[in-house]
Amino acid sequence: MAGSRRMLDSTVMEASVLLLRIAVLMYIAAAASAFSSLFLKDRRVSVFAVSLAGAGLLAHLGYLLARGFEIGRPPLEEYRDVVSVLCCAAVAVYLIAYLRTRLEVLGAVILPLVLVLLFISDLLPAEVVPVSRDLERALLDFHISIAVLGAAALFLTFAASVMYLVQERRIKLKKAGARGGPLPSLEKCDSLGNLSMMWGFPLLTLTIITGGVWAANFRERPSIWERQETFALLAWALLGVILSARFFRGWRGRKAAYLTILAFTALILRMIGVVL
Amino acid sequence: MGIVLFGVNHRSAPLEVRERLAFPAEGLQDALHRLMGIPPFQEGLILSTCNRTELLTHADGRGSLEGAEAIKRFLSEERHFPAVDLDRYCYRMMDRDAVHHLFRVTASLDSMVLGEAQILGQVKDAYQAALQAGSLGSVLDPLMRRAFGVAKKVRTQTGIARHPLSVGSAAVSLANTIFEELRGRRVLLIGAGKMGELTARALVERGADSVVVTNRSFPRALELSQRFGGKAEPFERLVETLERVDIVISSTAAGEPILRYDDVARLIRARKNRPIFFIDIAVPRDIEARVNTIDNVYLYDLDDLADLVSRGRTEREAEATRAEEIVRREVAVFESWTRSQDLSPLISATRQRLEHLSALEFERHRTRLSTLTAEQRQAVEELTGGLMSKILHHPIQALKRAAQLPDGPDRARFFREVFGLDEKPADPSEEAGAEPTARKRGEDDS
Repeated sequence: MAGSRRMLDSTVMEASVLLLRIAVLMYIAAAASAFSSLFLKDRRVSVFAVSLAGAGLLAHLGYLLARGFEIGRPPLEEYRDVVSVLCCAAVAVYLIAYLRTRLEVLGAVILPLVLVLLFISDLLPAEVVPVSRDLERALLDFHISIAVLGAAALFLTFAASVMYLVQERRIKLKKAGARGGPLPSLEKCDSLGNLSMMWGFPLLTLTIITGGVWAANFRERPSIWERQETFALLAWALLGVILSARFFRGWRGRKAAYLTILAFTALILRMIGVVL
Repeated sequence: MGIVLFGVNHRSAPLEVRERLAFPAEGLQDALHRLMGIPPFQEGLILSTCNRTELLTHADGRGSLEGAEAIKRFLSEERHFPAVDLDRYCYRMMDRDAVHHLFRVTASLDSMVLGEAQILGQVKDAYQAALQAGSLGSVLDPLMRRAFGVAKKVRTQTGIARHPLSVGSAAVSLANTIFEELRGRRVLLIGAGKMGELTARALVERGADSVVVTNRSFPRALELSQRFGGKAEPFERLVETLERVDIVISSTAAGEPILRYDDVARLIRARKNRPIFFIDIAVPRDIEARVNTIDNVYLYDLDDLADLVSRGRTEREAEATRAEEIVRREVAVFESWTRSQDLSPLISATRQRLEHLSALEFERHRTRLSTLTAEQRQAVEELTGGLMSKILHHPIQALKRAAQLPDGPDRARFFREVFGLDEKPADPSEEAGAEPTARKRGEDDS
């Protein structure tokens, strides 16, 4: 009985590793086609990129399911699993945003970032986020889930800011011109970034609150002022400043885009648990 | 195929000749009716624009040369132009070349301004006119629809129509990199120069909302604003006006800049950072160049726009090479399609021949079969029918494959021989044999 259980486990593990590899390969191919679609003015290439990313997403979801089955609960315990879930969510957000906006360039910004994170997550130690009791675990799962959702929305904000900066440079340096080029208009970048931030920011706020509650109740040292958390708070504060400046003074443009990218970077550093 | 194209364009004939050969739009229907009255032609279409007059015809089974001569006579009579002179200016193309030329024209590869959008609309108008005149059939109708498909493919798969070719279109495409759409955008025109007016018009044509005109001479501003159906503002209120618009075209004759860095920096604060796009086409310039460094302010002057236009021209030429490749491929596809279309009368003739033979056999054995019940009789009929289809299946497939080969016609002839399609039916009362179907063809598919 125990033997067959172990055999089943190892089959699941092999299948899950295979699925992850397929997902990564699909993402690599999708990123490559998304990049080449910027230069080849052929719609079919970008449709191809999106289909590859979709196939990768399915394999990735399959991997996460298998992984959950393997450890017997949602894969939110190890840092590398959390990052993997985040990447999966980011690809899903990318696909939804693509279907809504038909912006081909999104893939060229988001997919490479997802790949980098996936590779980093592979290097991360299998360190379990420490837990002891059931309630504690439930709170932590909730905390991590909304953190992942918020960060996934902010992937889009990040992509919009990068596109904004590149397009803005092109216009200021008089390099713009061809209509229908790969980059969307500044207005579109701006509204996409703003919209996704409106989703990402509240989720991030909730993440920080639940994180604080968890730390205050269950941690030995009830301090959220750890260096890791500083990054999350920095990201949150920056986004808060950007959003309120926008709301009250219509603040936007290049500097806002730089600050947004900075905030996103801080958040991602926190998510992969890398602390300088 | 029997397709003939005959005509002039901006390269083959000077304007004086082109204007004499052009067909006025209102007389097009009548001209098409007269063209259809000429014996060899079964189908026809007349494309007449300021840069070209082209006649496209289809005459089944007749020599193409004869067709071209007939078109020449027709054109000469219609437009009162000596036929001898037509030879100097006109080109004539047959079948494959005619299809190739038509695809190039529709895809705007033969236009004076490479990739311009008007020609597609003009070809569509010509197609509509021919449809109404009933002068399109089983060859030209699918050909024209294919031509539209090719044009669309060229536009979407290459950048040929994308790069701006005039100051106006450069301004439009720049505005489109800043604003998602021009609808709802307000344009301010400062000064009353011709170029400024043209640029504003280009923006309005692409959906920009309203034009506000300001000028040192208010009556002049008023006059110009009426032409746009917009509003005029006194020049003294320039700063307030700037707060309410998105795109500014400046073309005054002022010797000094009318907008300086500090003015615009103040303006953008008052606008709560809403982006503004300045197009300065005045010489000397109206707006300080440094303004471009302010966040959310975009400034292009005349040289920047001229640069864009010359870059646009080069890029269109580069894209044209790719477009030509698409056209070549599509011509080949169309050709093989017509070859397989050519087979359909032959195939149906074969079927009828076999049906005829089986009917004869039934007749011969009528007395012996009379004892069968209706059900049994039906079974026998189904059996012979099924057998017939089975026997025909492979020969027809082979025939279709052979049609794509150079010696296709020879093989088709052999096929006719094998099935005895050219033999006279034994019984003169049964004329519904092979021949008439070939003649009926034009009506079948249309």
